[in-house]
Amino acid sequence: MDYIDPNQMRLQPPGPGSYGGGYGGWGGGGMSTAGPVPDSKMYAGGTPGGFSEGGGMMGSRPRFYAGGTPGFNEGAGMGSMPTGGFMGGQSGYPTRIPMSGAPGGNYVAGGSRNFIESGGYGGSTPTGGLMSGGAAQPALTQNYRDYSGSGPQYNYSPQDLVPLSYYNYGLGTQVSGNVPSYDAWMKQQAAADPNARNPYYSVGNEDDSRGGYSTAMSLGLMSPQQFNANIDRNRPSSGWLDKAAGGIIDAAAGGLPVTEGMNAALGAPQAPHYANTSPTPGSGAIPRASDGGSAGLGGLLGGGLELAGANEQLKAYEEAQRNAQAAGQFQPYNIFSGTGSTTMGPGGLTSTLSPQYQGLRDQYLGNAAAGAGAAGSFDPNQMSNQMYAQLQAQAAPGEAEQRANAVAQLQGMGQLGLGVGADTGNGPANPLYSSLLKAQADASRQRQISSYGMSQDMANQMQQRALGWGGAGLGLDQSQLGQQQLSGYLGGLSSNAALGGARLAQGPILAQGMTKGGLLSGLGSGLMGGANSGIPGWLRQQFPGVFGSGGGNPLGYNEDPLSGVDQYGSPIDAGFPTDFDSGVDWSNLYG
Amino acid sequence: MAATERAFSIIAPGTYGLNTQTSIDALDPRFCLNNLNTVQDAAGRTSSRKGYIAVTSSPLGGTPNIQQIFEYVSNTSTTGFLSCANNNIYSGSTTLTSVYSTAITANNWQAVNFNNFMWFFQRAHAPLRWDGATMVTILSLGGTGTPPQGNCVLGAFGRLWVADTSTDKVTLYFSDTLIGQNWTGGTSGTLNLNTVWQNGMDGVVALAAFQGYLIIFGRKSILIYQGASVPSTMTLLEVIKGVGCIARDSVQNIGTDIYFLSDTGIRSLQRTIQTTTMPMQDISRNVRDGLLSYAAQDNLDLTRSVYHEAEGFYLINFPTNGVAFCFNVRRTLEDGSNPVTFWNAINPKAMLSSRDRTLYFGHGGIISKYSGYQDNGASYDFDFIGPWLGFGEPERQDILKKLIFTVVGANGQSFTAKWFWDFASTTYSAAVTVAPHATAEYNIAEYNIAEYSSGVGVDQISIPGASTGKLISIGLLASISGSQLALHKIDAYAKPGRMI
Repeated sequence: MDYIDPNQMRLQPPGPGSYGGGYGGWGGGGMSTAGPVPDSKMYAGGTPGGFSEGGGMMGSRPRFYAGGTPGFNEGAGMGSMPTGGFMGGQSGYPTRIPMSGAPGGNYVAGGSRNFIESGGYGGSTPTGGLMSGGAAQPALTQNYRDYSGSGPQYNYSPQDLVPLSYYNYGLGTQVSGNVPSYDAWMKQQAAADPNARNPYYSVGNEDDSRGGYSTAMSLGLMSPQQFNANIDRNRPSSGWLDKAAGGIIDAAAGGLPVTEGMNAALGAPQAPHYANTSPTPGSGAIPRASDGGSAGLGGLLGGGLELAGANEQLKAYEEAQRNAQAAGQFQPYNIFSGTGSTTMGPGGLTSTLSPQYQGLRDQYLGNAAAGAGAAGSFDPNQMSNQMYAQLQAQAAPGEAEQRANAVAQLQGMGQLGLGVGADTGNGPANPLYSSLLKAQADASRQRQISSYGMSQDMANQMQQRALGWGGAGLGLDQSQLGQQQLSGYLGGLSSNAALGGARLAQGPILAQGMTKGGLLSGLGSGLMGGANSGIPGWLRQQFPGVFGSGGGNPLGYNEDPLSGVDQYGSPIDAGFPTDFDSGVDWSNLYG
Repeated sequence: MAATERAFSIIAPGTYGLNTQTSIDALDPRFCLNNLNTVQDAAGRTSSRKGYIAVTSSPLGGTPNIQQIFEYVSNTSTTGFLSCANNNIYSGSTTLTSVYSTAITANNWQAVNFNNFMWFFQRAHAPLRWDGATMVTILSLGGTGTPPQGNCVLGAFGRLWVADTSTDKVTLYFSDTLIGQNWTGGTSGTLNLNTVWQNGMDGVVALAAFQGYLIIFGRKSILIYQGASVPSTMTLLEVIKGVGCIARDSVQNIGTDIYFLSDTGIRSLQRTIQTTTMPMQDISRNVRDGLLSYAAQDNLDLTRSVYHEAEGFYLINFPTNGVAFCFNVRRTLEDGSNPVTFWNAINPKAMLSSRDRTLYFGHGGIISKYSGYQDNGASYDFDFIGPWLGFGEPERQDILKKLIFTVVGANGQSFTAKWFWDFASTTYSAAVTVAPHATAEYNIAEYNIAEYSSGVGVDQISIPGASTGKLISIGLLASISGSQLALHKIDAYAKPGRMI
């Protein structure tokens, strides 16, 4: 059963290297065997069932579905949900998993890529499993975030010491106290911001190595302290190993609880450790083959080592992912130019104009404010009247002169006293003079119209001018956007470059992990074969405590596990299989 | 040795007309000092004027003076007479029938033909309109505005022009186009001349149209407007200062000119226009003072004039004095004046030269016409006095021996030859009677009788002279009664006398 942190179930951009699908070429070993895999307790908490899809996890379509009964349905056929276990995402078709049916048992997570189909939560409530609340079901409504935005919101915040995921649903109580949260641990481990996604979760990699702990904790078999302690001890945390260890313990101790079994096998943790504490070598010792015991112990250890080898491989993946993620961290650039600067600080991006431009900007905006005020209080009608009066006053002398000239002209023409017409009842009118007066009246009327138009133009101009000042100030502000974008761009370039480097560096890490994994698997096979003769020398040298290399030295974390390999983790001893698939594009970890 | 007789002859005496302005100067022998009741006939001779005969068969009761005569001309050229007397307007000429008399208190109407109607205007009277049968007031026609009660009217340029009301002498009113009853609206209007008169305030006396110009006669000035067809754009062409019209009815259009009575005599407008920059000239310059003296003594409102094309004269009558001056427009003297004759006795109160080339007069109770050689049956004097002439030797007195008058048409008339010496008023005269002329008798041979006249005979009447002097003025006084008398020639014979 995978561990799901609801806090991580938020829509976020995909993190580098967090998608599955790119591992399909690894079908050559491990769980790549086609056909149904018999239930070997690889999946905690589930009803024996397994899966039946060819290729399994490592296949070209790594549809991994844990522990459900009666297994899974091919393709989109997730209509009938398993009654137990969880349903991971479908990486082969990394879109989504339709969650139309209500799970009959445990909590069902999943989704394509990095999100969970929100609709899948719609109207059904899990009846059991991780998210089942049992008698405390009412709290369930607040245990997850409704990403549709319409339902009840999750009250938990990443800063809480005790995330709700640690709520002991089985007991109906909530763990309290100064207990470091998994989230905090995760942040420390990943050195990422709280919103960063769970680096242990990705489509195609749903089987988080800590899932077993989570399951155990959810079942009340492991406290959060134990959870963290186990993690901090940096024990092999693969779910498979965990499950394998559980199986070993069960087999050896006859049904001891998982943790106790683990402790019995690996040694109890001395004290809870935080994520940033250095791994402390365990005081307990792993029983060596040379320590004697029944002959069945060798076979038992052989199977365990074989699984441990697989676990080493996964650890290599995880380390490569973490490195890639760390390398892909965005590293912005500070930009300085004549107009100002853009710097990246703890509070984010800060853009500052140069004093000259800042003064200019303040002046612009001041003018804009003043102009806007003036435009707002501007009365076009009043201005129109004023302009009309001015135009009239300007035209008055000329018009008076025109009238005087007209009178003189009329005098010379003997028409000064001439009046014609008067249909309007106003009496006869002098044609020439009345036409002049009419022309002047028309001109006056035109001036009035012009005044109105000009006043409107003035209003518009004032508004435009204010807008222009504002735009000029805004333009200076916006000029910093370019710098910000440039900073981001350069930072992106840098991240890409670092990420490229990390990709290149992943090869050796993975190779090292694969080497270790292969070694352990081989060792395990040898042990299960009952003879050490088949163990290569370099491996015996590598684990002298286990294989009796003279004096013996139990396997500990402070011992160099990479001795016998080169700086890149590649075996330097002859006989180490080097037939890695050269056709795999190692630079493309995104699938 | 017997002294040589000296003689002079005056052919067509008085052909230059009356000259009272330079009577004692050495005048051209063709001037005369008196030509009463004469005209200048077609041959340029001084002839007795015609008399008048009554046209009206039944004079108006009380024989009121016919003070105006108008001839109505319709669109169909139908004509009719309208006359004004006794505060009535009469139609007809033979029989005078009153057609309108309402509120008429004077007979000083002026009427014009315009657009098939005759329009009557008189100061302080309601304007009237005659349509050939009925006389009505213009106001009753229901036009726009009120027609002005002006004293002068002109029908020209497609509208009526009126001025000189009782209260307004300076405004010219004009009606709407072709609508004489509309005086407001349309293209009607007014023209106030207050600002146009150049010799101070003046008043409109008469109106005339001449050669496309609107002539506004003031008392002391004349305004000439051009473009009067569109009053709104008409412009003042010229202002003639110092010359105006003093008698409305003295204005006569003689075809190529307009004659009018001014304060300086009878003026020709055309000549006035042409000589605005030249010394003032008038066509009555030879009788100027005498004419103006009559004008000054007369009622100019009743002064009438006429241009009679058939006789070729412009006649102006001063009814109060009973005298008239007749200007021969067929001849223009070197000084630009017209030969003028002087009439009395006829005294027409109204004059009209009709379309049938008849000159009608208004007399007491009747309309008469210029015809015959009697004034309504009465004789009238023909009086001619020639200028002062000498016999060629101013240092020597001459002894008048004989006068020979060559006259035409003196059939059986008696006349008196008269002469004066040296500007003295002493008259020397001799009465003679012209033997009646026998008419030509065909198939009757009468030898030794030279008679070639066919009704109008030419007679040479010889009269023995008497007394002495240096300058002599020779005249003839005849009584015209039924026959024309024309003075054709005067011959004078003298014998040199002693030296002074």
